[in-house]
Amino acid sequence: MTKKTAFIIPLTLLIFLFSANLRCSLANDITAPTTTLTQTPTSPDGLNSWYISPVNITLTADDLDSGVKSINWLLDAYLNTQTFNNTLNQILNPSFEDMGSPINKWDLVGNDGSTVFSQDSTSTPPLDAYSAKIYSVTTGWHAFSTESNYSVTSTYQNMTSSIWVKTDTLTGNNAYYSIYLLYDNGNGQVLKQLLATSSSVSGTTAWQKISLNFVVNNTQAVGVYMEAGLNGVGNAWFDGASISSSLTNPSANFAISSNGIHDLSYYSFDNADNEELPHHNTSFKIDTKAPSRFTNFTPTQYGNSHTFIISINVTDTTSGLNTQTAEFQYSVDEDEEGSWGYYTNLTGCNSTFVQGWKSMSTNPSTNGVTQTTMTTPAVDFCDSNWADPKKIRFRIKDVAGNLGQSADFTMNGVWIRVTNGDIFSNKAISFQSPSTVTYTAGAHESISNVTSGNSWFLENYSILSHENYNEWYSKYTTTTAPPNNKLPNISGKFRINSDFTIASNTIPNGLSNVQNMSAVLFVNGDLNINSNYSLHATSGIIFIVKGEISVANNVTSVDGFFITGEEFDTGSGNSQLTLNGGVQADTLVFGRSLNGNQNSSTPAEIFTYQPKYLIVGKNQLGSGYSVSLVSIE
Amino acid sequence: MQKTSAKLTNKGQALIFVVLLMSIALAVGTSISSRTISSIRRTTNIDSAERARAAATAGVEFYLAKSGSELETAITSNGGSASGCSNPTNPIAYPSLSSEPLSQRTDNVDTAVQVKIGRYGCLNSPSDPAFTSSIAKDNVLELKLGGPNGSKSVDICFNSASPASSLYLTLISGTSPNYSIKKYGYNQAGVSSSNNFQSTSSNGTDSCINSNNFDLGSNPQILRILSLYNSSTIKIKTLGNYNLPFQGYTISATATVGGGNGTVKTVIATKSLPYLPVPFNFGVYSQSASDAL
Repeated sequence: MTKKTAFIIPLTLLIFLFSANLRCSLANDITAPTTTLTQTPTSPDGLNSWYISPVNITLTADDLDSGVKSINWLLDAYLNTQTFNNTLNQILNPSFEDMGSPINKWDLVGNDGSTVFSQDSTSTPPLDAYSAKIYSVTTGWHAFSTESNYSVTSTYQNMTSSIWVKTDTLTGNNAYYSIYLLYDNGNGQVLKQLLATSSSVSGTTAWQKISLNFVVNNTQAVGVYMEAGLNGVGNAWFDGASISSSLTNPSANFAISSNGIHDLSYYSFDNADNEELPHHNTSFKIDTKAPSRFTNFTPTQYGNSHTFIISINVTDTTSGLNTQTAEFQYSVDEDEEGSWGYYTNLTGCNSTFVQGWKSMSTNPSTNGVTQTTMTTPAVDFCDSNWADPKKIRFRIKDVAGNLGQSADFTMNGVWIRVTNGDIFSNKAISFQSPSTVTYTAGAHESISNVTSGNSWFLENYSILSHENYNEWYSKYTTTTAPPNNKLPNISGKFRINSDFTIASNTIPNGLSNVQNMSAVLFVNGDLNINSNYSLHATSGIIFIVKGEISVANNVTSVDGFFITGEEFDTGSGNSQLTLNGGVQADTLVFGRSLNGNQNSSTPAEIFTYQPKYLIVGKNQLGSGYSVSLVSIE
Repeated sequence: MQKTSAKLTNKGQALIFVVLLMSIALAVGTSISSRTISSIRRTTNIDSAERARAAATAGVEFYLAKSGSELETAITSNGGSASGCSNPTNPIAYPSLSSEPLSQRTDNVDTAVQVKIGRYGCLNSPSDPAFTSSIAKDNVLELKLGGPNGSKSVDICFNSASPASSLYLTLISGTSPNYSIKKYGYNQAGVSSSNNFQSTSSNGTDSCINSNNFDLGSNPQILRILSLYNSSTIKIKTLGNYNLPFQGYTISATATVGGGNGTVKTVIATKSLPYLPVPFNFGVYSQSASDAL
């Protein structure tokens, strides 16, 4: 018999025994896995047991016999499962339950006579009843080893390992474990090589799990074994040792980020189909959103023309409002530095002005309500010179501790009204004064200072897509100029290849009497509206403008549907502007302000949505259809 | 005498050898030819399939580019029903007979395409199968309504994957110039949302609006259905005597390559009636993602 043959026979026998061990492990495994949860943040980072940031969860499962087959978690009634392969633990007596000399299947390393190696039942091990203990009074390496009962492996195999460790007054170089490789050197000798070393633990620590993934990078690999021990003086306990052919230690990671109260139940199965019972249950309260939707700003005059009691509604739909934290501050001259605060006598501008916030009442005042009306006492803004901006702002916390602050509200400030339509912003809505919309107000971020007739709000909604001038023009290319280079008075698609000004000399005679006209006008430049004009109720013009759209101060009535990728400026006059149709623009500038106290009751700009454009517009922009390929046979 | 018989014997062996050699050559030649023929046949089949698919696609695309009025003319001029969804056209040759037939182009491969055009989306009675459509998130499905005066109702149900979608409806009624507008917002059954939309009732699999009875009022023109938060699958049925008119066109093109027993491929597409995109829903729409409104 050659040396090779002499080596191969026991190796073959060993592999057979390993597979037999596998079968035996599955048959003999009656212990369910154990799943532990770790999280970040480790505890609620808000008030009243609320989290104000998303919670990252890691579930880690251990099974010392047949290995973990799956980790399962039920989050708000949705079941999730993560499965694992090759998790069979290849270490014999992994939990140190079988007594030997002192522990069965484990060798001793560094047994210098003064170091005490024992099976211990006093350390409350994480798995089963016993752990392995090393008490060292000398420096040097002292460890438990599985060299005599190594785990069979193969070349380039990815493996994982782990062990639970606890230390007490451990000084020196710490407690850790190493993975060694046994390999055939080609001469019939089996040698060993250090493959990897885990992280280490020192001092006095509670039970913790340390893990290590490694690759068997030797072409003559025979097996691997673990040496777990300490290098120094002190006590160390070990429990739950594992080596498996799994690519990763069984763990599942996910985040809980949506606002609300979430119930989490988690448990595992092992490869012998033992189910972890009972399931673990916990819950998380998450509120990452501050109070918002400051709406229905209502100043009520009290006494003289510059003293008001001001109320505003605020909403928090998750943890609810902390009504004791409602506050306000105001400024009677915003241009002055440090002008935000309050007079110590709110109705006496001769008193001391204090920088800070003043408390205010709420109704309802019960803590945790989702909506409340905040009301100031009577506040004197000192004079009626509304040209000097006089502003007020509010703030309140929710029960979780998030602080929400409103936009600045301008007293007698300008506002807009959108009638019969919706309003949407791909950023946020933050008008200086409360504006109104008949139907829905929507924004990618927060909405402030808008009242919806139906109280319909799409807050924190995704950004909507739209087409720009070039995209529209490439679909509906035309080089036809409008008749006489004036506003169209016949149906069709037209283009003006320059700036265009709507003025008395570019408005066709009788335009307002032209019926059933459906026109699109491309303006390859800026559009300036310098004159009032109107269209017949049955007619419509869609303006698609490459540059800016500006409305002169003297214009009070405009008709059309306006699309631009630049700015739409309503002008800065003190007369009201009415726009019949709609506006899509990159930005809108509302610069008008009515005289005297008119702003308090009258919008400076009115946008009256005209549904006729949904019907009239299709005649010209009518290739906006959807196509689907049903089948190819 | 012995030499002659020896000569006779030798001549017979050569003949056998030659016959054997020729048999082998014949077998090899036959095998090679068979393989070549099989290879050519496979190549021809693949080529024919691709040609047929391309030709059918061309036929579909030709009619997709037509306007609604042109499609209506094609339908009524080729045996299709004057209205409704019942009868598509008789097969229409593509391209038209006045154009150069496909079979005469470049490589003389016999290719023919027949196109049928019809309408889809009609609902003529409450017992008709529901009109079903998918609406991508933040996109709109526009239904053509219309009909005589008098109350009309439809059953609108919808569902989605998680997260639950909501529907935002815009109903335009009346006749020019007196159009009126009404809007409705609906969340799925059992779903609470901060949008304050109305809730719906569940029929087990879908959420249904107004307990399966959405009133279109009198003289409805169009209903735009916007899917919010996620894409939706909606199912619409009519109630009472209301009929839903057609909602678009189906274009089916069948191409045959290689004559009667040749390769056949069919491409089918649908084209909805035209509608304006979602931003036209808004009275004011600020596009900027960096500047607040």
